Amino acid sequence: MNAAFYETEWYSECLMFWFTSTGKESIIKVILFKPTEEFDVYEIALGDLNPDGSIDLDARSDNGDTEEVLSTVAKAVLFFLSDHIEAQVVIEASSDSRARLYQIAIKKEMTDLGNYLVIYGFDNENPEVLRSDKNYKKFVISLKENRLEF
Amino acid sequence: METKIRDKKGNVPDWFTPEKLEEFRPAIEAAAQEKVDRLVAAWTPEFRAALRKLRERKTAP
Repeated sequence: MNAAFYETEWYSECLMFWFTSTGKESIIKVILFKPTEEFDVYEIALGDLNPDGSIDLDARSDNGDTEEVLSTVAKAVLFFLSDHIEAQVVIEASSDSRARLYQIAIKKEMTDLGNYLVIYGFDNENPEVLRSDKNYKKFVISLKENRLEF
Repeated sequence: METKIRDKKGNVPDWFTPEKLEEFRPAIEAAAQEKVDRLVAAWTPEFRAALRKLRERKTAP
């Protein structure tokens, strides 16, 4: 069974999304897809927006809804890729514990999104199909061919 | 695809409005770009080559 996820609003040609994380408290989360110098390769940035307009991109908000937040990010990736069909999205974990968290979330989401997305994990610099007995620090996600109608 | 939405924007903090987001957007974009630039600067030539190879594999006839 897939996790619930939050409704997102998007801005700027699907390059920025926001949603409210409603766990212990209400937190505005922003997801950004930033282009890199590599052609059609984007990095994800996820952060907590503060009332003063600053954004904490390395926050561990511990809001009690990690599963919903990660599921929302996964849906945002699919939405982004449906609008940027040749793009590759890179997700990088800032720590080993976060990498494990991402991997668990990705595995869970693959049940639902595996028909649409191709996901590689990077162990050192070599891409491989995700294995449950390995931890990856980087993930690269793209749209499967011929999966544009859903 | 199954869709289950937990929240319908009913719990948005009082201080937040779409107008606020527009106001904050340049700072948000700049902070995200700075982080991404830092991450990308650490990419090795091997990783970049692997990205290109994956793309070629995807676009190959």
